[in-house]
Amino acid sequence: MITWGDSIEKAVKKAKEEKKLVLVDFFNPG
Amino acid sequence: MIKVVTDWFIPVRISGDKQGDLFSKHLVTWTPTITIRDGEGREHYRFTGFLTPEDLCARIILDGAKAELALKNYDLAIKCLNDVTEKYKGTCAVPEAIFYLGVAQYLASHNPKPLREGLDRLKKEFPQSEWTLRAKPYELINL
Repeated sequence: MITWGDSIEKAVKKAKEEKKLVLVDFFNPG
Repeated sequence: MIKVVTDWFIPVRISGDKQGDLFSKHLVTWTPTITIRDGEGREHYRFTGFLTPEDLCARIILDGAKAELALKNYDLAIKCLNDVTEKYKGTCAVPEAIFYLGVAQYLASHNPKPLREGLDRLKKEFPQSEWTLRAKPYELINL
């Protein structure tokens, strides 16, 4: 299961710490 | 798919009905749009529209590999590009992955032969692909 965050800024900070990339899914709920 | 996302990425979902301001800020005009950023917040790639699960996975790996290439993480980029060409055969991402595999191997080694080998493979496997056209100048490289 994927745990999705809702903040790009927090994800970027975490990505830098963990040496990962950030995947952002912009979506419109149906 | 889940393993690819969680092992390599910090995943974020931005909902249009709750965070529509971020759509404008990031110039997102249509959904679904997926963007890939690095740890400095720089956007490297984005794609829009629906894909099959296999095509989506191949596209995410391909764009992640291209981001790693820009970050000069050549070994990881080459591994991921090889994964796309070997484990995701039949997906739309393969011709571009072959193109960038040659680029990554060249950047890692400064040996131009992988560029030509990529072209030869594209001509054989994907003669009508846009990526075969893009690689055409590598015909001048002698093997």
